[in-house]
Amino acid sequence: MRAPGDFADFYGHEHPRVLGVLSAVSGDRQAALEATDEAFVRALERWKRVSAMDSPSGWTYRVALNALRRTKRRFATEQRLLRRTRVVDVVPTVDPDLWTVVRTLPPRQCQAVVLRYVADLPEAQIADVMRITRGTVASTLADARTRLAELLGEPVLVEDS
Amino acid sequence: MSPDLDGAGRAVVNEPIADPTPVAELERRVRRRRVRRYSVVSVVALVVVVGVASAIAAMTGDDGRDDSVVVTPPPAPAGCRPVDPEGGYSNGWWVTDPSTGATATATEVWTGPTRREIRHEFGAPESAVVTPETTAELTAQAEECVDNPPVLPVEEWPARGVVVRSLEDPGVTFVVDEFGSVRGKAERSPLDEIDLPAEGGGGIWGVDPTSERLFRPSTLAWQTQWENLELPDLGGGPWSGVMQSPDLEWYLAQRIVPPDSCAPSAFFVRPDGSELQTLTGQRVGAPEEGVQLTNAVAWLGDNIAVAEFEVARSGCSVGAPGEPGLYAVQPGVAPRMLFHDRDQGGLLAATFLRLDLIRTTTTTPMTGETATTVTPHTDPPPTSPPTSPPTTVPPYDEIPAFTPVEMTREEAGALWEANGVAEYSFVWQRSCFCQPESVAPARLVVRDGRVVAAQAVDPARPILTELSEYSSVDELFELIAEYESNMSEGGTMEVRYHPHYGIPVSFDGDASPMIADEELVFGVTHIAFPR
Repeated sequence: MRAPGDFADFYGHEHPRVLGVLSAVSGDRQAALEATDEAFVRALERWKRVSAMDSPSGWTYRVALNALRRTKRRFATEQRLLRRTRVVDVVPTVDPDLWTVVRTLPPRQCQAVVLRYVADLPEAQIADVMRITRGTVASTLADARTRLAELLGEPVLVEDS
Repeated sequence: MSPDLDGAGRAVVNEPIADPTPVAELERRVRRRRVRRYSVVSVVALVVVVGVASAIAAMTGDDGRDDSVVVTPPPAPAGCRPVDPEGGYSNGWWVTDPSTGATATATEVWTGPTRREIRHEFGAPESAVVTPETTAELTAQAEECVDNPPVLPVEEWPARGVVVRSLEDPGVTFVVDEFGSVRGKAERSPLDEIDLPAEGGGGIWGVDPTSERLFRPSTLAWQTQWENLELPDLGGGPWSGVMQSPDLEWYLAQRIVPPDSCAPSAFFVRPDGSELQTLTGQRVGAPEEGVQLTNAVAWLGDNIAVAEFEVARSGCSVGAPGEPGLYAVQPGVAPRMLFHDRDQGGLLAATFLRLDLIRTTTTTPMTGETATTVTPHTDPPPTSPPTSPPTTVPPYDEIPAFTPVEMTREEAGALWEANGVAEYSFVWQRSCFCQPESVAPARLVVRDGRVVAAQAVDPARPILTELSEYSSVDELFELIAEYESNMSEGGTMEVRYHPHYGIPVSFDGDASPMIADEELVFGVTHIAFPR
């Protein structure tokens, strides 16, 4: 099987963003790597259909976030049933303290922040990925920034504020 | 300085935690899925013709075994032949094109914990006319042999070895000899027959040479009295079990370490507690102490044990041996790789002994005479040998119509337990913002608390093929309890149960009204019990 040429381009461009989003959301290196691969394998498998979508990257983010949820659930099940001793392999990131605080936000705020500032997605696309309205994205991001400032004890700098 | 979200976000993207998996590897995974899906679809198509009822029997068998459609190994390419191993872990195969005499070889090579390469060689007689298409096809076939080797009949299994499969990719169960050579795949996965929650994958298992089943010989029983042993307190985590070596000289001991610890988790320890060393042969507390998490699997024979070394944690220095996988370990000897964890997601493994091939030599002290005996295979296998799938309607009856009722989870759980149902079937459907396969109704069959088969109710709506995606009634109770414990303020949950059996038949929960995608809705219908 030969992948369509533009999949490789898409993959090369989007991989660091998708991996970055999952790393920042989960803080779990192994889970992030696994879910990222899963999302791109699915994209490759359905590339003809995915590439024809309005936003192939939006679809991939949604699949990746779902895959991350499943991966973490599987890890939890394995730990419980197989008595495995797996521990979280914490993602080594730049600004680890900031991302650690971001992960303490409610899940919806955390996802919105990461999709906005790591994936650099516009609000409309975040709305599509998270299946919420654009207005909700805007208010969620505003709430998240306020909460982050409270948690960090100082205002958070963003280019769009 | 105030934190800069834009800058921090850009940094995450510009400094990724890992390089992308090569596209060729993604393509390989797609190919493997397609082969497996084809195999599953074929079986499902067949059973649909027979009828829904007989399908359940066809998937589960009638002899108490845990057969399952989803673990049916896909067919391997024809003509895979193993490359002679050079010692240590080896997974290399070659194929030949009879019309030209050309051969292609593919060998798995690991150049780092996550760096997997398939090295190719191609050769042809000088007189042969080999087209680029033939070259590409042969090369692809050889490569496929690496991931999906041919079935190794049980009579050809080595005397000692390991059966292992990836938790990430349960499609193929590899048979690996004690030296780390992949010898083929098991026709059916004996690992499915181990009751994991009850027993783990540990302990030494015998192989029944007639049925390819693993069983636990009474002469090789697992040590169970470990709580009485005086294991040293290493701090930071409790001991969770030990297995005694066949010569009774050592224990393979496992402990649970906390998430932030860089300490090893499995050890060799003398029965009197006088000596303790890591599986990499180091003294406990030595500066070079390895830090990879280790899961004891079992003793393989003599003083050689098998353990899984997991992916090294960040924040801890990487200890030897560095790469995740199964290793043969021995007190005082460096670990030797038996199987690489290619998916980095963990392995499920059990050691085996071909008791019909294991010979024991004994020496009479007075005369110095030696005698060799072959250990007889006396323990019966735990279940009867495989039989042909039944062609009659299976003995399942749907329960009469009922009105679901509200009660507490504890009351429902008590009802369910009081009924003591070990085998049952029901149609499961959930609702969520997820892929179509997740919401398609599936008929599940449960035995002894585990989902052993899943079948699409509507052939036009494919279902998830991973049985781990589904829950038995016992697991539904766990799921509800977990959901309940995660409810935030304003969260809602409505559960209704069967009035007599206590089965949760409808669930509608929203753990937090503020969070999208936390809603969980499912229904259980068409409950049926064996006639």
